[in-house]
Amino acid sequence: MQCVALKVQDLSKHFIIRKSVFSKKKIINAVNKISFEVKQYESLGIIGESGSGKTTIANMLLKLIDSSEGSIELFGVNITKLSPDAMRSHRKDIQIIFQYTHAVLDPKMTIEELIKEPLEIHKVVNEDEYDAEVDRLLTMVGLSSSERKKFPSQLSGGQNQRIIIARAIATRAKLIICDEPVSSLDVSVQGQILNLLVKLKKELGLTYVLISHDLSVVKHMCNRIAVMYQGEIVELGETGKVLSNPTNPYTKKLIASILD
Amino acid sequence: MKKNNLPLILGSVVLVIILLVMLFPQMFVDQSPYTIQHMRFTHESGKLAVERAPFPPSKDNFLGNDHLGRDILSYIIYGTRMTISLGVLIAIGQFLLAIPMALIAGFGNRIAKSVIIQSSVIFSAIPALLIAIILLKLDFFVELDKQKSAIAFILVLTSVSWARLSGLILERVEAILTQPFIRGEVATGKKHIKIAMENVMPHLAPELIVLFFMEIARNLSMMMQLGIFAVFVGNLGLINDATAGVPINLEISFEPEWASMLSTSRTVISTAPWAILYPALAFFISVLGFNLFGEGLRIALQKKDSRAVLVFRKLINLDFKYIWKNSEAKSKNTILMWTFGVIFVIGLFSWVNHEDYSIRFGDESLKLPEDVVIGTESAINTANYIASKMSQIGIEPMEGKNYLIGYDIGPSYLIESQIFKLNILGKPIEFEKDLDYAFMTSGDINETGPIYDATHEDLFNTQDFSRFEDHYVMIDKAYYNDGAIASFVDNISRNARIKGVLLVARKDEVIGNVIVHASEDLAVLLISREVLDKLSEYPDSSITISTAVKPIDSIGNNVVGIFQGADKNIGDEAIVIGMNYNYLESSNKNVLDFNLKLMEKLCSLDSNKRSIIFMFLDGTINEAQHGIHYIAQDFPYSSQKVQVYIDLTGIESSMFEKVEFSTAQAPITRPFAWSLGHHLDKELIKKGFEVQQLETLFVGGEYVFTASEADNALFWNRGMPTIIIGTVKAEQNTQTLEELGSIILEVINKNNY
Repeated sequence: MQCVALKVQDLSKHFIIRKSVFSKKKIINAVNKISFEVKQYESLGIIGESGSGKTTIANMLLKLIDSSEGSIELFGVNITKLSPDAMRSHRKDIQIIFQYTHAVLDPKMTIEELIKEPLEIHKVVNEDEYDAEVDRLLTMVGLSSSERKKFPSQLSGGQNQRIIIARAIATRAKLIICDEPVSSLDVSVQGQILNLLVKLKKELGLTYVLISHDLSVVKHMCNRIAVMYQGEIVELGETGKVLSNPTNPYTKKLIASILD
Repeated sequence: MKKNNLPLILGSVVLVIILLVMLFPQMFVDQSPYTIQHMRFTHESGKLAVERAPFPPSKDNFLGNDHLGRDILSYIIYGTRMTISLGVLIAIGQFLLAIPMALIAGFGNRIAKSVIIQSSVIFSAIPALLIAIILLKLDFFVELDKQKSAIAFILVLTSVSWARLSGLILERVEAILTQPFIRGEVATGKKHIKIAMENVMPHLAPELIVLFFMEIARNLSMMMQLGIFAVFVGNLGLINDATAGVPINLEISFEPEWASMLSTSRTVISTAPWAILYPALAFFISVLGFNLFGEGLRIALQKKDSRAVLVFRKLINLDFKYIWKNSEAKSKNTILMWTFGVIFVIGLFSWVNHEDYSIRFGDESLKLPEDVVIGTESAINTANYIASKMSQIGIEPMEGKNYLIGYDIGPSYLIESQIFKLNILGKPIEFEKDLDYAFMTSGDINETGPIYDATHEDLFNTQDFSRFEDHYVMIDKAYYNDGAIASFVDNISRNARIKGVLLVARKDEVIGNVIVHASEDLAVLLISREVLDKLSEYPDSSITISTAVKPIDSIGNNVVGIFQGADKNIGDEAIVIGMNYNYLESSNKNVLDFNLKLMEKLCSLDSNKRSIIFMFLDGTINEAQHGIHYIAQDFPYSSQKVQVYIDLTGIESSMFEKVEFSTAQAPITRPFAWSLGHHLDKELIKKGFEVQQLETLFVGGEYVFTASEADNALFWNRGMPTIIIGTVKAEQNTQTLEELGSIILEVINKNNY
């Protein structure tokens, strides 16, 4: 039986907004009591429009922000209440691929430094093997080692996205959250990156949670799919089933919009 | 065309000059900042004209002198090191405090954040300048010595100004922490401290470096403002000098430093504007230089893809291996930057001049005779030995060709045995020589006779001398000066056949003698006040004295030589050092050896600007034959050119407990002597010597030393300011001449070079 990589139960995030001390509190439910499970080696796609809480989920899963309610279990370990220090050792297992934007990689670090960093932090290999490992990772994501001494600003968007991927797989992570991995790239590059992700999944036996607003990307990548609408999961199931037979009106609208 | 970075170039030029001045001040001026030329004598058409400092700029003193006679140019040049170092060190202090606080606050620590905000609110409400003045004007800070005062300065100025800087940095840290890549670093599992060092700092670095130089400039202008309010390092504060009944308030630092120049000279701004203008200009130029350099760096570092940051990150992680490996990749800018940094640090550490002031002696003691007493053969031999030493070292004889300046001490005897006793029926009291009494005049005498107590009589108007006949006349020295006493003794002995004179010693007068004036029928004794009390108890008893003497040569020899000063302006100004070469006990050979070595060492110091006159005085064992009286009558050098007389004749043993010391005859109206005395005082206390001030009497606006007339000789007869250093023996003699000697050397050298 496949083991459960990630189990999320009743996860919520409320943002409390107060315009001034005297005004009334306004609570925004960015994510409202969502539950799902991801088994090892499978890919779950989370799809929804902007503002539906997709990125908030990603941040909560990685504990970049604290969740308000609910629990997150990572390979059987409840990480919801872990302190930042205790969480650090678990970060080896769960990594994130960010959407490429300006300065998502430290502009003052070289490619080499950027990739070496996770190796150093989690002591993945011995110190004298860092160089070889950086080379290996660069080849793996389809870059040549001649790019090592460059700064992110000297590379293209697609290349930078590959660096981000290389950083994520450097720790030998088992679960990778992909937060809009291709949405800011040219269409021609998008396909390359997606194929790279598929290739890596096969080679390294990764588990993906893919967050996107683009149904075609999710369809291409994932065997299961969760549809989010206003902070809630409105539909969850096998990709084929959901797409061919949507039950929720929002899902129907979403699918219809692609077919148009 | 490549655009030139003008601010960086200009700033670098100014900074390089400042650095050179800091490191090698002697390259820029040949005059020492410690030299003082208070009076200037010029001969104009046969007339002697006297000028008094402040002197306006002239070709000798390029920027003029201040009212204490210090050369402004050399003071500024030598002051650079201290002033700039302070500015830099304060900036370092601020950054050491501000950066960690800003980083901690940036990562969400509320306490750190509120400390920063509250402090900067407080210090912007109350000007930092005001707080600094109030704090540093406290007696506690004013009384610190130079080093401690500098540290206090750094601490206070750091603590009043770090918050504003920290606030600035915090703002930037917060901005950097909201950048998207920080989220990525956290997700990777990086610790906060590593994020701070590896991600935040490199982004901050260009601004920090720029800020650093700007802060130095700020600190310098802060110090300038403090200087105007008389707050500066090593402030001597208020000096009340009662000379002529007028208290003089001065705020002086004898360490060259710009802020103190502003402060010391601010009172004479209307009469000597140059004294305040040039230090201010020095501040202006360096503030400008640091600002320009900071601005230039900002422009240089804001260029994209600067590798400097890479090196910076490795440096804060102490990953020198990486830098070494990638040293080729370093751009010229980086190399320049770090070289600057390194040189600066070296500059900071080298602000103490290392001159060897150690003094060794004792090795040549064997050559010296067992005792040296005026008039004896050993005295002549020793005098010749000293003279030969002088000519070896390069000390020239005064006036004539002879080092030995002879003087006639009159026919004299060396006492070989002596007895003085009070004849009381039953058991006579025998007094102890050199403690209870000492002979001043004597021959081979063995007499007994009654005492006539004249201690309560007015001896000035004696008409009838018959009452003294066949008596020992007792006179109290406390009421008369030495001249009067001599004339009484002369008068009485001529008009009456007296057996002798008992002189009651003054308080603290040293009793002890081996050489007496020759006289076959008259004995003059110095007796202590205890003996006086004893004698008064038995007014009707007689006393017996008995001496055996040996005639000696009646010529004493002072050995005097001059070591010419090197400076063309003040080379003929002289420091006179008086030392003794007589001794009775062979254990004191070392003292003479010490004196010789001190002389040698003083001449070997590389920076002798003024002349030094060495006087080895003969007859120092007894007041009457003391060579100083004779040399004072006919001093072989223009006494107006003598800046100070340092009397070391009081140094009598190589191990001692306390230092006898007085600068009472070096008043503030004689600045050179005064500053030398002041330095000596400070150094002695700093090195842990117990200092015993000599007893003084205040007569007619000046001080008189009561213990020995010899101490007063040059000041009262020749008007030379006198500093007296001697040793006091007691039960525990733990202090050594080596240490005392090195202090004397250092102070003389610093005041003279």
